[in-house]
Amino acid sequence: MFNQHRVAGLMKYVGLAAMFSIVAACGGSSGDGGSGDGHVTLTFLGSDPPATVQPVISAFEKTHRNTTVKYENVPFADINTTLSARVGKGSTDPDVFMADYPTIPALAQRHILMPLDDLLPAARSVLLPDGIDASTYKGHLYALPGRASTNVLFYNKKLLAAAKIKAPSIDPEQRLTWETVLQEARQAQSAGAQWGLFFDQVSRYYQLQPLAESAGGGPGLTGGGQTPALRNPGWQKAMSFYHDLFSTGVSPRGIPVTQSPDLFTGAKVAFWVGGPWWLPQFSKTAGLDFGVAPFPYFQGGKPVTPTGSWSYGVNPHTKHKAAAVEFVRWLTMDPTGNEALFQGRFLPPANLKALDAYYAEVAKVAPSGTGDLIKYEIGHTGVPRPRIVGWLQFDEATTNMFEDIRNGQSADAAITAADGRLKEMLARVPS
Amino acid sequence: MTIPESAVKEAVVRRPAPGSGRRFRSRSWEPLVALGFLTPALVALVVLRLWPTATAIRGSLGGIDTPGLGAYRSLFADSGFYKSLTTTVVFNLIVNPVQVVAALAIAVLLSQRLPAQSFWRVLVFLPAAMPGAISAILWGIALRPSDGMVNALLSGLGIPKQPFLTSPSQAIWSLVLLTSWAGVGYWMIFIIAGLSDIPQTYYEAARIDGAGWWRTFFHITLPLLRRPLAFVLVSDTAANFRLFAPVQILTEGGPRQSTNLLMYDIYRQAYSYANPEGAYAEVMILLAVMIVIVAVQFRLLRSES
Repeated sequence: MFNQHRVAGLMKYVGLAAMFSIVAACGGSSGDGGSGDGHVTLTFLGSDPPATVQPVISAFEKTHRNTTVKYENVPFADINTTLSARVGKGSTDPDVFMADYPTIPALAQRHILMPLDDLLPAARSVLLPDGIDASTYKGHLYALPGRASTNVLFYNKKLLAAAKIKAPSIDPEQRLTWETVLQEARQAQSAGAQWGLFFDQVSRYYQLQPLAESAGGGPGLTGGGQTPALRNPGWQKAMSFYHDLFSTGVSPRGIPVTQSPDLFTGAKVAFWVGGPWWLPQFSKTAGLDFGVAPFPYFQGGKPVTPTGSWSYGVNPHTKHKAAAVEFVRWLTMDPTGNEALFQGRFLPPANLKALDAYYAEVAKVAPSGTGDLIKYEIGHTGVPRPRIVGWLQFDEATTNMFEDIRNGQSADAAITAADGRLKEMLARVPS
Repeated sequence: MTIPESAVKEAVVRRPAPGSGRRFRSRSWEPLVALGFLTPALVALVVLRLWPTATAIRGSLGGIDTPGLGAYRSLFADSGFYKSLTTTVVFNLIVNPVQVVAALAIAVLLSQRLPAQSFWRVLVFLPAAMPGAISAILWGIALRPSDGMVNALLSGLGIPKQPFLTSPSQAIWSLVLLTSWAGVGYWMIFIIAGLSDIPQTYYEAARIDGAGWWRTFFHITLPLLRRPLAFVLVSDTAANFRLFAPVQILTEGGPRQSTNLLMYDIYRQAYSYANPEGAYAEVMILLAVMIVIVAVQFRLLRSES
């Protein structure tokens, strides 16, 4: 069967095959990286739907002919873990990425963000101060803020009319209390609405911090972010309110954040608390007659709205430093770039000039007065999320707590459990 | 597959063709050729299994704040870890036998002479062809307590609506349902292959001897299925111990940490909490538990020959 010649030939093939498999396993070559003709390809990672990012990239590439940008989409919940796994381990890809305001200290501490101090003086004059503060850690600028945010109370006019409820005013001076909203939500349900009240970012700290703050509970942290502070009357009140919404059937269980807007567009809920970035979609939804009112507050407490949004950062290991920094600068400090961002996805911009253009757009898709409401809330009632290195742990522990309360655990038990776990987790966070 | 003895003898005794002018050494080149063919698999084994395991061992012992066994000590001091460990072990002690028995039952059923047998087999296998993340999302929607398909069906049958993934007691079993929907079809294929390997002569002999269906099943089918069943049980165990995607997509370990399986906890330690030593230590413990359970399974399914 075998003879020595054939065996030798066979061994050559086998050796070659083995070598190929080893080389293939070691991974392919890295990106083309701008050799020779100076053309650079940047990778950009974010959680926005690709359809909303492509126009932004096209606008950038038109004025920056020697740069191509490739967008990679990752779900919001996975951005930080993706960045930790890639940039945190030294990968040169992605070159540029989105960073949620409160994650910036943790990302900076883990060397996932490149300092951009050269741009700080110029940035201060063109960007919202809250955004600059959020993007700074230990005196250095680690990212550039591209977006701001707030929340409003959307309501379904038909469902309210069916219950003979007077439509709430859009004037911040006539803001409804949570107690009133709950009562009216129940009335709407008796008159036929499937659900009374629901939240855009259900069971997320971004959405529920304002309730606790309005009830006087504070952010849930003290001691520079090292100690949890959830066991106080304010958090107890807010969490009991949240618990009762679900246990008494005013709000549905089991529906995640990604499926929440469908409840409002499907006219299944009377009141829906969410961001103004849904305005274009709501205004285009056939048959949805909606109104806008200010974000509610607890009786006796102060009005508080969620705030803070996305910054754009550069990978410290990037091979295209100049191009990456220019992309981030254009996205945020250049009004054209920042405007392109909100044309793609309708979040309020952080660039002061672009903000004026934004309010003009709001007037086209929202009831009159909405632009002024958004401006007022961003300027007066926004309370930012804590900026601590242990943010990811804190966010996760509170999300679990909110979901447990939503699914029936008593506010007291859930708060105690979360407080205990946070003590353990935050103790292990480097300061 | 066994090679007939006659062919082996022939291969050993063959002489070089006359006139080839070369002498054969004794078959020292055979092991080399075998090694050559095995090289890609060996390389994959080392690069994808052994080297990461060595990295994990080293990583679990080498933290800056937790040198030596510090990472293990922190782990054993964490009440959350114990809960995760017990949840994972209990989950596996139940789900693995259930899935294997279900796969066996369906395999036997679909090996009978049925009309459109191939069609049924494809139908049962189809869920396994769907990416796990997508089936998790679809099941998440089907299990929605207020308006999901499953509760709609139950209501139609007069059964009250169930909380499923929103209940600490039902969430883990909802995950069992989800993974079994795809898993059973997949493992069924291997058992069908094992069943078709059993020579018909045994069944004929049993029939002639007057054995009923159950006796045939327990005394002929099952013993001859030992190897495929062992393979299915061990592979299924390994897969279920590493269950991750449905937890991350649907429950994030909750409600009340009731679905915080070890693999998900490891992922969180490594990437959310930036605690790689803790993650490595947890990986080693998961590996140790899996080895013990698989060893027990091998013992139970060992052939008496």
